[in-house]
Amino acid sequence: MAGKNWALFEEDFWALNDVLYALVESSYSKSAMLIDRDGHLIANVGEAPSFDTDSFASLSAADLAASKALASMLGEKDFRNQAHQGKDCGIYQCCVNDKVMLVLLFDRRSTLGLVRLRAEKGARELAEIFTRVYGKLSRSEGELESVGVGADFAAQADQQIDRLFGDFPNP
Amino acid sequence: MSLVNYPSREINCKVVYYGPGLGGKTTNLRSVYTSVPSTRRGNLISLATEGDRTLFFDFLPVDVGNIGGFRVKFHLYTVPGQIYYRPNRKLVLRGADGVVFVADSQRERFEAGKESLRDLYVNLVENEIDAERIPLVFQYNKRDMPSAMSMQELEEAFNPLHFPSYEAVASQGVGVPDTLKTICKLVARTIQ
Repeated sequence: MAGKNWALFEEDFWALNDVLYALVESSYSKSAMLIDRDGHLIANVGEAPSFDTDSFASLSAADLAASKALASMLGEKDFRNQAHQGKDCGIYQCCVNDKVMLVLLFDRRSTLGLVRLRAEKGARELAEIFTRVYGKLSRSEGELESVGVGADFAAQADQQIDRLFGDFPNP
Repeated sequence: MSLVNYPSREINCKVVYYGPGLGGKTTNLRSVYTSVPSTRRGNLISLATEGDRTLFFDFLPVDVGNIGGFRVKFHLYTVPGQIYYRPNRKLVLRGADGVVFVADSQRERFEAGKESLRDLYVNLVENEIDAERIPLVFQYNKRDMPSAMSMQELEEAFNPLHFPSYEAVASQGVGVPDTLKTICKLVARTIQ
């Protein structure tokens, strides 16, 4: 591999979800998402969004990455959080750790101050869970295959990819 | 880095289209967007300048479907090709699972292509991505142009290690599916 894949298992997933649920409730947010720094959506709780969550995750990660790059130009390690507010809704983003960010969507039922306050506490709880996740992964290098991605994964992938992209219309 | 999410049975992979400005990276994604059924892809997001030049990136998520009990998605990105957007390219390349290098076949764009390839390797190293192991596919675009260099010349200059490579006229969709299929398969093989 060029870089190490990382995985999220059942127990940790539900622990993360519990924190996110509590966060949505206590901050009166619409939904809470965990997004990794590469733009992959890890978890999403609360109201089901009406938009494409993959695109949202990608743009959020880019947004935070750009702000971190700006922070670096100013001699800061990073800007730990940022918010965008419109007329009816807003987005609050903050780093959970170097790899993961927390995003809260809120509307007029809440305020930026409340969201920020709850998010800081929630981010600390999430960070503790991720510390456990990374600890497990570093201890279980090589065990991932036995957990679900079988040896014939690549062969099945070839077939599926051929099936989807083989249907491209002939130029 | 691919994310394997066992509870939701999803695997997300990131593929980045890299190369010199105006080489056809965005055109590749547009071709994929129009060719893949709408049920299997999301919207094409373009963060572009008013002149339709890529400013930060283009993004297109493609849902390959169920593989071994996992829903596998490939997130396709392009980088901005213009020289002065180097910081943006580095950010977009971060966490890439595979790279497609889109070279412009025209002789007058040869040096820009070489510079972009050097830039790719520097950014891979700075992103702590193993440049020798990341899946890489070359695409020689604009094969229909009168000043297109020969494939032999291009291969010798860009691809001495003989990674998979394809001729393309991305504006007509030629070479786009083969390039995409190959990079997706190579990335799938890296998933443990």
